[in-house]
Amino acid sequence: MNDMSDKTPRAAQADGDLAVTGLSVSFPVRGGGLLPFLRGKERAAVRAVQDVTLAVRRGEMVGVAGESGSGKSTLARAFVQLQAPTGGRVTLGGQPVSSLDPLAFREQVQMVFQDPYNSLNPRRKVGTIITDSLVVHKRGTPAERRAQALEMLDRVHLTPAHFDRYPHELSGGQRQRVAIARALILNPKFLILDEPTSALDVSVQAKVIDLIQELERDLNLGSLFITHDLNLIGYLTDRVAVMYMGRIVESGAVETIWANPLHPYTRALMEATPSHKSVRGKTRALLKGEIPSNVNLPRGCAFHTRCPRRIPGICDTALPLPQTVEGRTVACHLYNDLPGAAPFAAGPGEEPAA
Amino acid sequence: MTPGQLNGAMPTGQSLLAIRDLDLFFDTRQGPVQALAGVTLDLAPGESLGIVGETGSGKSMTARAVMGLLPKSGRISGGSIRLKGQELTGLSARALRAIRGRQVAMVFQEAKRALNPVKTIGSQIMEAARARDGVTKAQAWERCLTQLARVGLPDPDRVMRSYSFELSGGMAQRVMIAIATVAGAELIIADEPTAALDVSIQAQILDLLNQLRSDLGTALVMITHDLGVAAENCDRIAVMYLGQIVEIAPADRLFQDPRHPYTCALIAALPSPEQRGRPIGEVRRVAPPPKGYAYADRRLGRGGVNPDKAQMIEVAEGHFVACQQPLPGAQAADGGRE
Repeated sequence: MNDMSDKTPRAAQADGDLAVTGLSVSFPVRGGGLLPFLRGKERAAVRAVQDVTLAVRRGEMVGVAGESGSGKSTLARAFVQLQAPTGGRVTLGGQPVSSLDPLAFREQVQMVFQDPYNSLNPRRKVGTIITDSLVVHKRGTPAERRAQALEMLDRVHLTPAHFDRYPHELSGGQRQRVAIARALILNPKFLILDEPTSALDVSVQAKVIDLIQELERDLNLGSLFITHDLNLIGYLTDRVAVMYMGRIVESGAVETIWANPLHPYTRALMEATPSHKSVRGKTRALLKGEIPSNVNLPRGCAFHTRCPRRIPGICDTALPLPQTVEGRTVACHLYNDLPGAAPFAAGPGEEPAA
Repeated sequence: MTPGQLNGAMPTGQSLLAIRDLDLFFDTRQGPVQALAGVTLDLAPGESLGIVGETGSGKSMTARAVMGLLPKSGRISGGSIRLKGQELTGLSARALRAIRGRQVAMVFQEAKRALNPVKTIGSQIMEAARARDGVTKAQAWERCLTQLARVGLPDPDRVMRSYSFELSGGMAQRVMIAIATVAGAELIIADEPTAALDVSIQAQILDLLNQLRSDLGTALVMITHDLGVAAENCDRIAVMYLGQIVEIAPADRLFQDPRHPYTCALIAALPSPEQRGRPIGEVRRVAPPPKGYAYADRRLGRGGVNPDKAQMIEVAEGHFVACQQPLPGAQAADGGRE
């Protein structure tokens, strides 16, 4: 877990990993007319994900943290082939997924969406929703599928009675359990979870999180957990990648980064995250301004417009390759020239408990 | 002693807002549904009170009852709401309008949806500014500009001419706060003011609310589902469950020494890096009993179900728990684990 050299692109293609390498996704912006095109200008585009390299191994949970517009959901969709990448590639066990049969891919990688109210078809019963993928993948007889679905309902702590219910008869937490059951019925190796609990109350979230942990352990799943909740990432995941404006700014073992975040954005995000354990009235360095537009990205480091540690004349130049500093990967000019000279020194009590 | 005096931190005379035994019902096709049952609380001038709870706990309805903004099917069947001694329940719509904006103002959750999309920001904030008696149009305009600058909006002139769709979520929330404070309200009720915002913007907005509170001496009721937000920004916190306040205490006390089983469970359900490797949240969720002691069968780890209506018991100074048998002291901060 602490061996961060494993995050290099080569290792990312090790046997069985689900990985993206140099992944970029951009959405062309409509309008603007023909003129800029004729003049040979680059077409305006929302650059949602830029040059992201990230691998998920079986048996580990990787968290992706970031604010809205950071590209974390687009990244999740690219991982499950719901979004075609405009650059880079997605590989499963070293094989580009574009060369795989879509059904074979889906057997191994499944997704749970954010909003359990919209991700379940309201006109179909829970049983149908869960057994659907078995039908598509031509597995078993109807009776076998039913038995399998009932077993899966039990796994997610629902009862056989839920088999014949409609989604509207279920609470938010129960719906998310159904969504998890639907994702797991094919026995996948990887699960992509896009904010699976952000629509739920804390006590319901706690139970769904406990379930996800239990399933991940029992089934040896590799999972990617997308969330904006840093407390949740710190509690749940093994590794974390913090995203800002489409790029990973810092990634590594959660315990290492949480003990001493090095990227100024990670640090600011952690300071801005409210916690019931923090001191009341604490002064914190607030991030100024708002997230810039994804179409006209700031030059150089995208964060330099808001960065409290900006170096004038340096931070608006091209970002250096991510550096390995203190056991994690950081993409920041601060660590370019002086690797190891941490601008944020770890206090004696803050050493990573790894 | 009335339950009100038990619950309130101060005698009625000194409080800005005093709610006593408030009962609220909704008339539905299935019959009346109780949304609030005996809500009692006090708020001192300039104080900030957090009301936390999960969906359906009645925290928003408490706020709306104060504002006189209840849905049509809502009916206050008992209790009183007094603002500086003036009874608000049973006031006419007209009388309430005179109070809203001037004395109490509300900041809503999704500012961009709460603002009128077909009116300029200027016309909306002017409406609030002119609610104040004896203000000329020019004076009101000046006040609006000052207030917009005060909430941290650059170029107030331009903002006055903008429409809500031209603003980002954070800017729109700043506009909402400017509208709420422009007529000099002494109490701001903020209903999930930052729930739709990113954490870095949330931190800015919370900072602004605190700043205004210390500058203008405004009292603040902050409704939130985020215990972290309440912990960092409120003097006192009331925990609501199924239409009742189950615990009310100074913020630091509530997290250091939660007494009510529901509060303990809620705090235990919060994920935090310190909790790694341990399961979180063993809150039993049960269907609400029809009436009475709503959380009785949710007591964790002990029997002693009491069907009587809750009584607030003061377990420490300013720390009230609605429970016949408060859990013993020395609760760990993580909700009684270990």
